[in-house]
Amino acid sequence: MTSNDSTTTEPLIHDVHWSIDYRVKLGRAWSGFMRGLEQKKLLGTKCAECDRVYLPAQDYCEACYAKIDEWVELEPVGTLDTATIVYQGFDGSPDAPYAVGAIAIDGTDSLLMHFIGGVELHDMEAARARVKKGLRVRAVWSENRTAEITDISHFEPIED
Amino acid sequence: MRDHAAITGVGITPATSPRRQPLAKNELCRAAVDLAIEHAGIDREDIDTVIIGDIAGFEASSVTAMTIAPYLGLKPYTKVIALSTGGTSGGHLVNYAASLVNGGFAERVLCVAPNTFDGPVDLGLVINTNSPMIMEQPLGMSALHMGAFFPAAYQEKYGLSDDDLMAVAAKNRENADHNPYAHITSAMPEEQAQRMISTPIRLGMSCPVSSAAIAMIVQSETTAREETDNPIVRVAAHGSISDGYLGGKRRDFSRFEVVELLARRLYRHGGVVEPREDIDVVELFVPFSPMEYMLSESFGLAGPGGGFEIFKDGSTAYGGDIPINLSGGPQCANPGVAGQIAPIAHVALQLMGQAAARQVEGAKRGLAHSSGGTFFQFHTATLMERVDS
Repeated sequence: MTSNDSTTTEPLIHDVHWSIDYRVKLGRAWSGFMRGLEQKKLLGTKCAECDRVYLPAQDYCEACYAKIDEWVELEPVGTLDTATIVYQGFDGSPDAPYAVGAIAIDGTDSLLMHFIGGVELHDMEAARARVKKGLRVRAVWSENRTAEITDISHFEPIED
Repeated sequence: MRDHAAITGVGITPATSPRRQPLAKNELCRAAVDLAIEHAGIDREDIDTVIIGDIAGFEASSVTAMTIAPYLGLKPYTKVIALSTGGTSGGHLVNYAASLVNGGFAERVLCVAPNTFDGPVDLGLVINTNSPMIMEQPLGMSALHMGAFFPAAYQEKYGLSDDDLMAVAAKNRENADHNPYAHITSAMPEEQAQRMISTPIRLGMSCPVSSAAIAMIVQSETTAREETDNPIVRVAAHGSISDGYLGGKRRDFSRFEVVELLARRLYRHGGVVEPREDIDVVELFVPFSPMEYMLSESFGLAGPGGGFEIFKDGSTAYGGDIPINLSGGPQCANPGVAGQIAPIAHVALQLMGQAAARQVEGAKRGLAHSSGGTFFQFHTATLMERVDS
């Protein structure tokens, strides 16, 4: 045997790499919602049985299990429920800092997650004092819309 | 019900950082299995069913659980079940084994919880594939940022400081100093712990990525009484629950409403009337430390906002009346499916009087929890009870 014998029991680690693309069907409810965004419209669905309004749209009611087929257009305005300000992003995220919030759009019964923009975030304490529950926000539409959730660029505070 | 299900064996390998793990997955799992079988004192060839946990899409091979089975030294025609429910796979292993035993479909079940998280070069990117894609994942959120919504809402509702949220992590890391299987201990430098990731989550409040495997033996109480020298730990009740998948489905991020429902069901089934008095030891799956306050409330150990209070007055520390995460919890070892079964493993050992970390003297009844989904949509709970032999 050779002098390499002293290294032959060292554990080896090999790289494994897959490159795979997927195609995902959005279905009726989400397609309708995304098509609405493309036209600068916020479209939800309303349950005829219990009057709950879902945004993003869905075609069944989670509360009473009824099938939903009534669409409603909503004003893209709401109240911030909870938010996080990101100071460390990840591979593929926007450059930090940026903020993401759960927004109660007026007239809906669920929360919509989206970016919160138009607020200076580098001063962390000041930003946390501003981006919090109760902040009234309005959608800012993207210039180039492609029927994706990012057709809304972000929500920004409504100045009093 | 044919028979009660008893936990009779626990095998844990020490958690390390992924790059320090020299063993292949099948070798590491075999090591944990050998420990569990030896601990239970049963014959390997008497095992009739093996359940192996998996998290779909997290491994370099999509059928990893099935590839482990041939290495475990089990007799031919052993029933092999791969179980994949994401972050709750580990919790489901024991619960499902108990169901099989209760129904008379199995006598001796081997549960294998592999080191699921140590393969990906960047685990965060893999976890992103189980985030709500299309609608929410494009919005700059990885698991950590989604997880931040819960402590953010809790902090705002009850007026806690960042230090208040961090304090429980320090308690858990100090607990981990006594757990020989822990990966992260109180040695974490303060400056590193304070680094802000996504308000209010700082690095020290979040969990590491670890490598370890855990195996457990669940068998009928009748065979257990004949075969094991360990005190009999009965699976007294168990359950699981799911919440809406999109983050926005939650109406209130300051509490885990579905866990409140799960706890009520668990306690009704397990005969728990006053959780704080009736339960002696608790392990909660808290990848972000402030969740410990929130989940202790969900499980009825404190009222709304009281989770921080029972921490502050020492009740949840070692020596308190309701110690939580004496193992250190996921902040101290987070190896994937092995990390999810760890709460059950540590509670079972406590009830046997053989705790891996500090022992709660005379612990008779314990609660273990696991959780998964980037918005913690999925939870399991397991109630265990020492019964006299």
